[in-house]
Amino acid sequence: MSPAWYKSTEYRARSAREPRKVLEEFGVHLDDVVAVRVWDSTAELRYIVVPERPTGTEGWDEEALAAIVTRNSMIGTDRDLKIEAA
Amino acid sequence: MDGIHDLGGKEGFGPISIDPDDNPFHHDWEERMWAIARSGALGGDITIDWFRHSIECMVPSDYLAFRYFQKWCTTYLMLLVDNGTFTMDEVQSGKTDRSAAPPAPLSLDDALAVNRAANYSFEVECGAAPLFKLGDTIMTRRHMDSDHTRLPAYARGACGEIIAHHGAHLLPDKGVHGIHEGEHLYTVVFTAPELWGEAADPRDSVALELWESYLVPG
Repeated sequence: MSPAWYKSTEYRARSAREPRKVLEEFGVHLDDVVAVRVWDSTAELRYIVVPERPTGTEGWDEEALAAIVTRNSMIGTDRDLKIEAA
Repeated sequence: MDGIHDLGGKEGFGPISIDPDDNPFHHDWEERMWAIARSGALGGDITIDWFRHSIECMVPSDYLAFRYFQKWCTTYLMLLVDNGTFTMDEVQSGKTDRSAAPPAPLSLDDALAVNRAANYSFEVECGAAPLFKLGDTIMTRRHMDSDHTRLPAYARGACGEIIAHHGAHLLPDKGVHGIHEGEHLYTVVFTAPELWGEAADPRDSVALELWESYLVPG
């Protein structure tokens, strides 16, 4: 199920309008070259984010890669996967 | 309806409370509410559109003050009075004279089957050809007079571009009245300055799924 913060008034009000500030609160700092597209899901379609593969994971198999994926990275509020978590 | 539920883009809210323990529940009754709702025991006549609209009908001050699952509890209570499961007298007294044995608990397999059955596609057949195609520029309607719409207030009267067509999906604006009809559904992208003004970051955008009747040619 979705985390409590996902259902909070603050997240619902702010995430579409000021996604960069919201991401900062999750510890995500974006480079200037990065554009943000917010997917505000208004129909019965659901999306997951496929997180970017971190450098240093060359040759990892599917199981090892899956182990470093976080729930928040699939929502979009966690960007840089930590390879030491594996 | 233009209710308090339509929070997207409203300003003045503070930091997001991110629970380091990541617990989705903060009270035992919230777990029970979730479990009852997922069990399918509350009746199949409550559709997602009707449930959402019922929450939208909450008094605005309650809507903002009630916790998420408290909204669920209050709304289910209202719906169950509405469909005759309880009377208001029973709700007020907290007791019922009718003996109702709780249903036998579901096996894990049966519970999983109930959940799988609840995950169905809302895509349906629709006789009409789509009015729009990928790359079209559209305007969203300024006013939605339906009782339950999925067009957020922040995206009214705005210019966007269609980037996907999903076939026809059940239209919530009609579903809330018990009319289950499909209408073409699109993903529409709006630039951040179009929605939030010139001070917004021009690199950024918002994507929304919008039904055909929410749109006019741009």
